[in-house]
Parts: sequence; C-alpha cells; structure tokens
Amino acid sequence: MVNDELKELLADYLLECDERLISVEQALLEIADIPSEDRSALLEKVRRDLHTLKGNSGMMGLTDLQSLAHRLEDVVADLDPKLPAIEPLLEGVDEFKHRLTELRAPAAADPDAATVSTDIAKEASVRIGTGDLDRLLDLATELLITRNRMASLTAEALHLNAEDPGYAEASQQAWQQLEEVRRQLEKTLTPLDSGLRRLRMVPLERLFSRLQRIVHDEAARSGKTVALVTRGGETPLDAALVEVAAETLGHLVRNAVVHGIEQPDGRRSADKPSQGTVLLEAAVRGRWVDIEVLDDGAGIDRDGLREAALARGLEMAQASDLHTLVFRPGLTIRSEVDQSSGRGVGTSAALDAVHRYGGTIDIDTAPGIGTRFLLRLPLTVAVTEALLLEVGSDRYALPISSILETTDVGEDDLLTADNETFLQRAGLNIPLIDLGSFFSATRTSRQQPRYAVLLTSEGQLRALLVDQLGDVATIVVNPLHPTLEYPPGLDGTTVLGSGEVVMILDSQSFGGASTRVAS
Amino acid sequence: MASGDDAPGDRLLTFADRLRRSEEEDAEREEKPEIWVSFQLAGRSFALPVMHVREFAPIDRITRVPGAPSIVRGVTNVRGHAIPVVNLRELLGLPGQSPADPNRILVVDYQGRWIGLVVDRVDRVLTLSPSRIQGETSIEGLTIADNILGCYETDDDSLLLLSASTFLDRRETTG
Repeated sequence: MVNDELKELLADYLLECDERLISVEQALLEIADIPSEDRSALLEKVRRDLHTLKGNSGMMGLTDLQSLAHRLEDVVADLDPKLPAIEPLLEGVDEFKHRLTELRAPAAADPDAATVSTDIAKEASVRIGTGDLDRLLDLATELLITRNRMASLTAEALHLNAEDPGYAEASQQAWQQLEEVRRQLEKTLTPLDSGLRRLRMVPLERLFSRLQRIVHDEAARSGKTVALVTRGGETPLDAALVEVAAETLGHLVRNAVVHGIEQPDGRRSADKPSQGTVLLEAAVRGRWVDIEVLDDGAGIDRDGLREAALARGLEMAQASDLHTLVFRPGLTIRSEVDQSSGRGVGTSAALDAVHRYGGTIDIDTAPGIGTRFLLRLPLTVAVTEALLLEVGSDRYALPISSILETTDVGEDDLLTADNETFLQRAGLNIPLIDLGSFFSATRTSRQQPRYAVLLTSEGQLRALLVDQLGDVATIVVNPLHPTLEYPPGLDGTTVLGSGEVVMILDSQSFGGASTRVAS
Repeated sequence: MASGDDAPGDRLLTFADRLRRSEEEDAEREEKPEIWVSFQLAGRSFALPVMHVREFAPIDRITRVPGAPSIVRGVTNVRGHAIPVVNLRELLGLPGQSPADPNRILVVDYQGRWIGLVVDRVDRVLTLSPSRIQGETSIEGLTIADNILGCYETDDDSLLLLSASTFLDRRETTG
C-alpha cells in the first residue's frame, strides 16, 4: 500500500519534472532570438521553473537533483542578458533528464531499452482535465447500472423451468429484455470509447520542442546556423504514435541539419541566406496526420547515394529507389550513429515502426533547392486486443470486444438437426460454425476442433468452432488491401511481433452462416 | 520557438513551391519509362518499369487468405507492411505452376500501393529505347494480351513489357 502511494508520488514528480524541463529548454533555445530587453522576463521564468524543480526534488528526498537545480538557478542568476551563455544550462538540463531516466527504470543503461521506444506497449503519459474525467466517470457509472440490470435479468432467466407452461413465452421475453440491455450497453460504450480515444490525443507542439533541441545541438556541432520553423503545433496526434513520431522526426530533422543544410559559406556562394531553415509543418488531412519536414539545403545527391549503395552491393533495382537509398541503415546516417550511439533506434527500424502503424514516409528532393520528407500517420490508431485462434495450420485474430465467452467442446455438447449443428449450452441451442470448414482449412488427424468461441454476430448468438485458443495480443488493425477483394469473415490484417501476418476476423459476418457446418 | 510568420518561414514557402514545381517535372519524366527490370516466368522474359519495382524482397511465411481468388497466394510481411502476394504465372495464364513456397517476391509499388509477385527469377536492370518498343503483340496460346504493354527485341532476348497498373488498377481479379 505504502509502496503504491510512493510509486504514484514518484510518477507525479517525474511528469512535472518533464514539463518543467521542457519549458526551461524551450526558453533557453528561444532566448537568442528575442530582443535583449525581453530576455530578463524569460530568464525569470526559467529561474521559477528551476526553483520548483529544486523544491519538488527536495520533497522527494532526491538531494542530488535538489542541489543540481540549485546550481542551475545560480547560473541563471549570473547570466548576462546581453550575451546569455546557454550551453552550460542545457548541459545541466541534460544531466537532470539523465538522472530522471535512471529513476524511471534503474536498468535504463541496458542497451535493449533503446528499442523499447517504438514498442506498442510503451507507456506514455497524458494530462486529463477534470471535466473530461467526470464525463467518463458518468459513463462508467451507467455501465455499472446496466451490469446490475443484466445480472438480475440473467438470474430470472436461469430460474425459468422448461417444464413450466408458458416457458416459451417467458424465455422469449427474457431474450428481448437482454437485447434491450445490450442496446443500452452500446449506447454507453460508444461515447466512452470515443471519449477515451480523444484523451489519447497529444498536441504535436510537445514533440516539436524536443526537435528544437536536436536542431540546436546538431547545428552547433557542425558549425552551421539553422532556424527551425514550426507550423501546426496544435495538430493532435494519437498518444500511441508519439514515440514513433518523435523517433522518426528526430531522424529526419537531424538528417536535414547534418546532410541537407550546407555550411554558411557554401550557402552564401549559392546565393542563399547563410542561415539555413528547416520547416516542420503538421496538418490533419482526412484520416491522416501529415507532418512535413522541409529543408532549404543542397538536396539529396541521388547519384552519390546510388554509387555508395552499389559499392555496398545493393541490387541495382533497389539502388535506383531514393526511398531505399535513404532508409537503408548505414548509408546516409553514419554521422548520426556516431553522435548518438546507443540512443534511439536506426532509421530503418523507425520506418518499420511507421509502417506497422499504417503510416508512410515520402521523399522529394531537388538539387540546390532542398528536400521534403512527408511523414503520414493515421489520425487514430486502431489498436485492439485480440484473441489468437488456431484452425488447421492457419491462425486468426478475433477482437476481444466481440467475444462473450470461450469454452471447450466435447461430442456431448453438440446437437445436429436439419443439417445444422448447435452447441448446447445453458439450455440453449447456439448455431455452431466450424471455422475450419468455413475457411476450408486443411486439418491433420491430430488437429481437432476442441474449443468454441461464443459471440454475437449481427445481433445473433453464434459459436465458432476452433482447434486451439492462443494468446491475447495487442494488435494494430490494418485495412484489407483495396485492390483485391476478400471473402466475408475477414476484416483486415495485422503483423504480429514475430513478423507473421494474421488475418483479423470480422465478428459481424457469421450471422447467417450457420448452415455451412460440416457434420 | 520561432513563429510561422517570420522571414525564414516565408522564404521557405517559396522554396516549397519551387520544390513542388520540380516534383511535377519529375513526374513528367517518369511518364516515359526507359529503365526496366527483367525477370523470367515460364521460360519467357518479362520486364517491368524500374520505378514501379521496389525490390526483390526475401519473405518468410505467406499467410493464406481463405476464399480469395486462386491467383492470390496470400499475404506476407515486407518491411512491416502486410502485402498481398499474387501468382503472376496464373494471372497471365502461363502454363505450369508457381512454386509453392517462394522465398523472394518482386515487390511492385504503384501509386503507393504495394503488391508482391511470384516470379521464377529476376534477371537484370536494363535501359530500353522507347522508340523500339513494339506496341502490337499477339502470343499464341496465351491469355495475356491485355496485360502486355508491348514487346522489345534485345540482341539476345525478346522481352514482354508489363505495366504495373495491370496488377493494381483492376478492382477484381479472376481466379
């Protein structure tokens, strides 16, 4: 109990620290660009943030962070507003962040930790307004009320006796009442679902400030002057995508500064302003969030890249494709690997993560004019929990939300009448669909249907007969390929962690299919 | 953070325009395919424009799509994408059968949509002169005439030229 409270306290502390540090970092990066008479006010804000960090760290008993914040406060107090030297402060912020990472996971030095960031399971924090929270709580309360009504209805139904006169009528009525409850459930679940989804949206602004820092550092390191201009920071992004977007945009922005923007004298001789510009522009287009990364640098040297690729033995067909050339690891991003060894994942892995969520990256480049990357991500990620089912040698994913119950099935549980097979359960005859015959699966003698999954399909109760029940997995739902038509029963594809592609079942297409059962 | 209305932003707008214009020129250039990738299928040589060929990708396992037309071999994972795999041999009505377990597929990218083709072997990348492409072709015994863009005679080979839209523009496929 005490332990849980401590954990919660620590989580609050870490979240607040993150926000204060971002605010400090942003202010420091901004300071050189504003008139010197406005700088004192901004520095005052930095000092206040540091003061809060100091106080909070002290309360948590983290004396090293407390004194670090105190030291930084002193540095800010001594800063000359006319010529602020921000580098030591940025280093201090980094040190602070590093300590926080250690606090989050004591084993963060573990190299595997770097790959976690594109994992679907990665936890991200969002802040919730109490108004939103109250509305969701109201919906949850309604669910509880509906649950209670359902409990009393099923209790009544269980007491019905098939021998009693009027049984048919009574059971018919019970079903109707249950159907009403189901409608009520849907009426509550839909706004609950969309409300929760909205909570998961994060404004891109937060991510942009992280990129500001990358531009600053990379420009300083390579002796270039580069301005980052951002537009559309208010564009919302699904929280599940924040890490993937941050990782990918980090690569793109770093790439733009290191490889795109020329050295100042090179730019001047090309009749360009000596300061290079990187533009980040985000907008919602239909069901997509488009994030453009434009730089006014030298453009990508296709021929140079192609030669480098061919020297490494890439096939010619691949070598002519700009996309492959840029995203093949080890071609364009060597320097970046040097600088940030151990941090983050490679460009190729970032691209894979973008694909896994159904996103794309496009590249356009014009020699001497610049380069444009377009990162396109879905507005909302269709992530769902699904049960993996085995039928013959095939595997399918069935969204948990459609499943009422799973059960093992023996010969005695089945009833065949009028060419239809039923699963007998709780006095009911539930139409049974053997998924194996439905999808013409080949079964070996050892593969036998042994389990049934109960679901409602178009309002009808159905049982799906399968061989094995697998794990429950969090899957990203990809729509079916639009060029090819697929038969009923399928709703999309997903790529499992193992790389295997699995078809997703459409629970709503089994309503009328009860006659397709092999006896 | 710099706001969107300052000088570098405006400068970049013109830059973006210029970049977009040069894209259009690129698109015009791409209208005239000259570089092709040739491959073998049922003892004949075929070719696709290189700009529509992503790669000859190694694949692991193909997942069956029950009830799909027989030319659809299934779906597989190429760089995180689940893409359909099509037996080109059967699609073109060529004799013989595609290998049951291909370990590489020719990934065709048409307007951002990917599809995998099962072919016997990928040969090489070659430059063809557009003026020497013969439009009229009739190959006896094959039902592929609709899919053939033209024919091309090289010194030692006769290539049948395919268009990527053949596989990706059609809404229905027959099995």
